[in-house]
Formats: sequence, structure tokens, C-alpha cells
Amino acid sequence: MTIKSMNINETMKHPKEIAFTILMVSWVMLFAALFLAYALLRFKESQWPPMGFEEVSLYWPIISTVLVVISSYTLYLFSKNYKSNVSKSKKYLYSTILLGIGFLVSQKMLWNEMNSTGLDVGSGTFASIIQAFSWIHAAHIFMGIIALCWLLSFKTKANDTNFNFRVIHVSKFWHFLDIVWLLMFVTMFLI
Amino acid sequence: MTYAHGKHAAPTTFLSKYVFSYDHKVIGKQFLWYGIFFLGIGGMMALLIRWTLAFPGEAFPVLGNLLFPHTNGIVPPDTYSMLFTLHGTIMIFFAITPILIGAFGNYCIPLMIGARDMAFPIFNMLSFHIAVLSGALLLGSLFTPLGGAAGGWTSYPTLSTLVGSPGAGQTLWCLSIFVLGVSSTMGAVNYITTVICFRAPGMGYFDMPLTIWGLWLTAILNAIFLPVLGAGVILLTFDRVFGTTFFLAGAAATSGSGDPILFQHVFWIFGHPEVYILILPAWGMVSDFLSFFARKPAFGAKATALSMTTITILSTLVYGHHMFTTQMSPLLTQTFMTLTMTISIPSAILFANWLGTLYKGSIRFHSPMLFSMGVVFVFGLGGLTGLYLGTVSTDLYLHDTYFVVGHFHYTMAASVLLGGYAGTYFWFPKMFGRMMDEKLAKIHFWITMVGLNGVFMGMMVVGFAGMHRRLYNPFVYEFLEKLIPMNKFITYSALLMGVGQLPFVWNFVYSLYKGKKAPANPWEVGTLEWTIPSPPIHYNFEEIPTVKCGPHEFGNPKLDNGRDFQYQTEELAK
Ligand code: HEM
Ligand SMILES: [Cu+2]
Repeated sequence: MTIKSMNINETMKHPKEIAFTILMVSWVMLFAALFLAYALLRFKESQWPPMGFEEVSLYWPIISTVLVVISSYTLYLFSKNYKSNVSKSKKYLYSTILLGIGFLVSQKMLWNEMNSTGLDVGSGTFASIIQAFSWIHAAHIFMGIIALCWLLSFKTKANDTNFNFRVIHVSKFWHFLDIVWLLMFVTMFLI
Repeated sequence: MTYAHGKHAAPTTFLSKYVFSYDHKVIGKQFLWYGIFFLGIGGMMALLIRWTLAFPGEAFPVLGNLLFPHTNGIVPPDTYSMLFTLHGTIMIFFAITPILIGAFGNYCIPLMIGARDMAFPIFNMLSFHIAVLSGALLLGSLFTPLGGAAGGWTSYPTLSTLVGSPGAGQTLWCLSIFVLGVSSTMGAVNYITTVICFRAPGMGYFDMPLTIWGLWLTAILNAIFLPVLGAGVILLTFDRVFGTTFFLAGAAATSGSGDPILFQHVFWIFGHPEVYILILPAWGMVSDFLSFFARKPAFGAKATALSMTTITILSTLVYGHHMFTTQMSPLLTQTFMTLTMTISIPSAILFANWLGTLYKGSIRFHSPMLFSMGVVFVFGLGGLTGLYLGTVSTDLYLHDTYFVVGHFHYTMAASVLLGGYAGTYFWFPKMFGRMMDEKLAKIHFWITMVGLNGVFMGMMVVGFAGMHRRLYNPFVYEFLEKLIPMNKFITYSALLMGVGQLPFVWNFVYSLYKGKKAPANPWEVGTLEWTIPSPPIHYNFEEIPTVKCGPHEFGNPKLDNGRDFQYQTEELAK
């Protein structure tokens, strides 16, 4: 079942690009709804963190941020190089995957630390929001890592159109998750 | 407009043909069976609910002792809550959605736009299988120790938190809805892409049948708003399973405090678009059928398509009208009221176009037409009652009464059900190559129509008289005692409506095997699906057709081919 273009002169986007754009809209709405929930709960309180709660230490969140930002950069380098330079791009892809795993570990450390300082999920909305949102985000990072592994066959497929789409889409997804984390970092830990 | 699938060989084994098929026509039929199955279950639940309201404290006849042995056949109160919860959930998410969107969407989109399949056939198959998983989760929830979810189809906290529903049923409900959301989003991505990329050469957006417009807009709303519901039920699940406190407040939350109203916001941001998600396919189909059977071009077809689009956009801005009684600030209630009223403008254009299509037509009263005209009637009533609910001052009184129940059954249940039947009678010959019996279809129509109006009009009357929804026995309140006879009337009407579905079931099953062989174009219409044999060959179109005119070219005096219509593949007669 191959998809053929009926009219090669037309500059229409490929169905896969259109479909992925729509999927991204869905994901944006998912996280937008979470941020809306956060905003409503936060503005209900007279101060944030609510009375009796301490700010979360920035140690692990900053590490997570650094890891995820670098991973986006290495993935970008991979997508630039995989067609021309196999050995270099291999390094970039593996580093992205490792950085992704590192991100998950740093998140786990964050949750552990929160749990040990009395900010477990049952302690109220402040901890609920940070923990639950980072779980949902981490679950997506996990899917992202699987998707990255799906790119490992790039050596033989560098010139395959379908594979090129795969690289573009996995990258978009990964950068999107990076941006979501940055928003979470700023709104939950910094301000 | 520029892409097409290649021809591919038909599958040969039973599994690849009927279970794991990629073929949009098979997937459409799978969704049809799935939806009809749940329609039956939801219908039975409705009868149990109605029995309880008409004969409170009396044993349900025949099956009662089997279902509720501990109470001598009387529906117990907790079961009653479960019944109305699952009735709503099943009808909305597991009957209407699969039939209107899953079945007709899958079956009609490629055929009507001249494509060989959906854009992503495997994705499409997965969408169905995930829907089956979701249905299994929901049905499974009935067998947990404390029974299924009982917090209403809207599952507001605190009813739906551990405080209101301790059992696993509500958690499974959340998961089931989440999984269904994944399935529908996948379907939606597929539909939208297919319509954008796979229209036959020459088919502009306004050359698409309005059915496709409806399905396409529905898919767009689905892709945007289902994730919002997804977020809501994930948070609710977290509250239930991991002890977060998003929706718990006051004494229910050990410390800190969430907000039950937050869930209502999230739910209705999704929920109001959802009601249009359900009605848009039916609107599209009705807009086409009225033209097909009045034998004249759809009046203002372009305006109809654009009003549907406008309604789609506006429907995202009005959700607050479900929450007027939540102590919203008056500034907000009035804003939402005004926005709600704004929807009347495109709705009125749409409705006027329907009447314009009928005006001076040479109407053929075949069954799809009868059902379509039924939709015009019941949707008119439903839409008008919406205005009273959209007005803050009247809604404060009417909110959460049976008037609301009557309103949404007219707009949603009645309109969509009749629209679904219209589509079934219309495309049955295409799907199975046989005709359904017209006489039985007409009997089905009239009994359904009488029963349905008895039920839903009755609901509005008792609602106006002050009867609240979701009460196990409203008649413990003295001022409602006088409503018992009216409730009996509603229940008898519901029974009539239930009985009225038997001719349909018989007709469907009988015609499947023994129906008259369908002629090539039984309804004499020119859309692309009727240019190919019924049922169509595996990849639909031997050659991808080229479209040269719109879908509603009827009664053109310049036509000299002995027909009163022309196919979309023919040059417009000049
Ligand atoms: C024509 C314009 C419409 C207006 C102005 C309107 C207005 C409203 C309002 C204000 C309510 C809330 C009533 C309350 O809870 O107090 C409501 C409820 C509802 N409407 Fe509509 N509506 C319209 C059309 C529709 C359509 C087309 C559908 C579905 C296809 C629909 C389905 C529903 C449902 C399902 C509910 C109740 C949900 C619940 O509380 O369980 N409405 N409508
Ligand atoms: Cu609404």
C-alpha cells in the first residue's frame, strides 16, 4: 500500500507531515489543559507555595533542565549529520538517548527528594501538581526514548524518504517535550 | 488532493479479512457492529431507569429477580446511579461515537472523496482495536466488587473521587475513557489527513458532499479537545490511585486544597465541543439527504458548510453555560450567555438552508428522507430549548432538571439517532449490496418518532415542573408526587420506542442475507460512491476518478441524459 503523489508539480505537504502536525496539536492541548489546571489552582491560593510549604530545592530541576536542553542540541546535530557522516551522527544519537535516560533519573531523584521532605503527592496541591505533571511529562520522555531507539537503523536507511520523515517527526516530538519541560521549570520551580 | 494509494491485493485469511483488516470498509463495519452492540446495552439500561422512575419500589418485570436477587427484583439505589452513569457514557462514547464517526466516517470518507483507503490504514485498524480495549475496560468495571462508575457521565468530583465512589469501577471508567480518547484521536488524525490529501483530482473543498464536511469538522474538534478530557481523567485517576489532591477540597483533602470545580472546567472545555462532535456528522448527512431526496441542489450548500465551520469555531467558546450555577462571576456568566446566543446565528442559517432545500422540491419519501426530516424536526425543538438553558436567568431554575435531560436528548439522542438511521438505510445497499425493506423502515420510523417525542417532550414537561435529574425516587418530595402519571407516560413511550426498534433489527438482519439485490444506484444520486459497484471492490476505485462538478447537481434543465441528476465525474451540463 504505497502512497503515490498524483501530481508531482504540486507543492503540497506529505500526508505524514500533516498528520504529525495534527498529532502535535493534540499533545499541545493535553499539556495546555494541565497548565490551565495548574494556573487555576495556583491563583486560588493567596501565596505560592501555599502556607506551610517550602520551595522545592532547585538542584535536581536544574540538572534535568541542563540534560534535556543538551539532548535537544545533540538530536539537532544528529538530524543535520545522519545523511553524510555515519560515525559522528551515531555519537549524537547515542548521546541523545543517554541524556534522555539521565533526565528520567534526575526526575526520579527529584521525586525521591520531594517525598523525603514531606512533599509527597498526598500532601496537597502544591506537591500534587509538581509530581503529577512531571510524571506525565516523564512518561512522554519515555515514549520519546523509545522513538529515538527507532532511529538507530539510520546507517542503512539514510536515503529513505519514510525514514527521513521519521527523523523529522521524532525530533519535533523531542524538542516539544524539551519546551514543555522548560515551561514547567520556569513556572513551577522558578516563579 | 494530490495523493492516492496504489492498488493492493485483497487479504485472504479470515483473520486478515475480518479482524485485522486495514480496509476502511471493513473497519467501518466493525465500528457499526460495535456501536449497535452498545446501543442495545445502553437501551436496556434506559428501560431500567425509566421503570424505576415510573414504578418506584416495584420489581422490574421478568428480568428483575435475575438481575437484582437481593432486593426481590427492585432496582437498588446504588445500581440506579450506576445505570444512569453508564447509560450516558455508553450512549455517548460507545454507541453514537462509533456509529456516526467510526462507522460512517470510515466507510464514507474514502468512498465519497474518491480515495482507495484512509491515509494510514494500519493506524486506522489500531484505532478500532484500541476502542475494543476501551469497551472491555468499561464492561469489566461492572464486575468489580462495588460495581461500575456511579458519578454520572460527567463524573464530577466529589462524586467521582474516592470520597464519593470508593470502588475500582470509577477508576476503570477513567481509564476506559482515556483509552477511548486515544483511539478517537488516532481516528481523527487519519480523517483530517485523508480529507486534506486524498480528495480525487478536481474535488475542491466545496465539491465535497456535506457529509464529509460534517465528519471532517468533527474530526478536527476531536483532535483538539479529546486531549483536554484526557488530561482531566488522568488527574482524576491520580487523585484516586496515587492520592493527589487536584479535585479534593475541604474535609476531603487532608491538607492543602484542590478544587472540584476545576474538573467541571476541564470537562466542559471538552464537553461542549463534544456535543457538536456528535451532531456534526448527522448535520452533514441530513444536509446531503435533504437535497438528494428533494431532487434539487442543496440550498446555499456553501453557506451550510461555512455555518458548520463557524459553529465549530464558536463551540469552543461557550462551555461556561454548563456552569452557570457554580458561583461564577456575573461578568463571566453574561459573557458565556452572549457567546452562546451567538451560535444561534450560524445555526439559523443552517436550519434555513435545510428548509430552503425542501422548498418546492419534488420530495421522494424514502426511508432515509423520512429520517432526515425527522432530524430537522427534533433538532429544531432541541435547539430552541437550548436558548432557555443558555439564558442565565432561566437556567438558574432549569439547571439539573429533567428539562436539561429533555434538551440534550432532543439535540443529541434523537437527532443523532435518527441521523444514524438515515445513514444506515441510505448506505446499507452500498455496504452489503442489498436493499432494506422500505415498508418495515417506515413502520420503524413512525413508531420511533411517536415514542421518542413522547419520551423527550415528557421529560421537558416534568423538568419544567421542577423534577430534578438523577434522583432515585423523586416522589419522596411531595410537590413532585403529581408527576407520577406523567412519568408513567414517559416510560410507556420509552417502551414503545424500544419495541419500535425491533422492526429495524429484523429488517437489518433479514436484508443482510435475504434482501433484494441492490441496483447500481438505488437512490439516483451522483456522489462518487455510487459510480462504483456495491459492495465496492477491495481498493474501491479501479481508476481514481476525476471530479468535474458538485455533489448536488439535480434537476438541471440542461441535462439531456434522461436522468434528473448527474454524477460528480460528469462535466456540468451547460
Ligand atoms: C442550539 C444551541 C444550543 C444551546 C443554546 C444549548 C445550551 C445548553 C445549555 C445552556 C446547557 C446547560 C444546561 C444546564 O445544565 O443547566 C446545555 C446542556 C446540554 N446540551 Fe445543549 N445547547 C445547544 C445545542 C446542543 C446540541 C447541538 C447538543 C448535542 C448534540 C447539546 C447537548 C447538550 C448536552 C449533552 C447537555 C447536558 C449535559 C449534562 O449536563 O449532562 N446541546 N445546552
Ligand atoms: Cu454546551
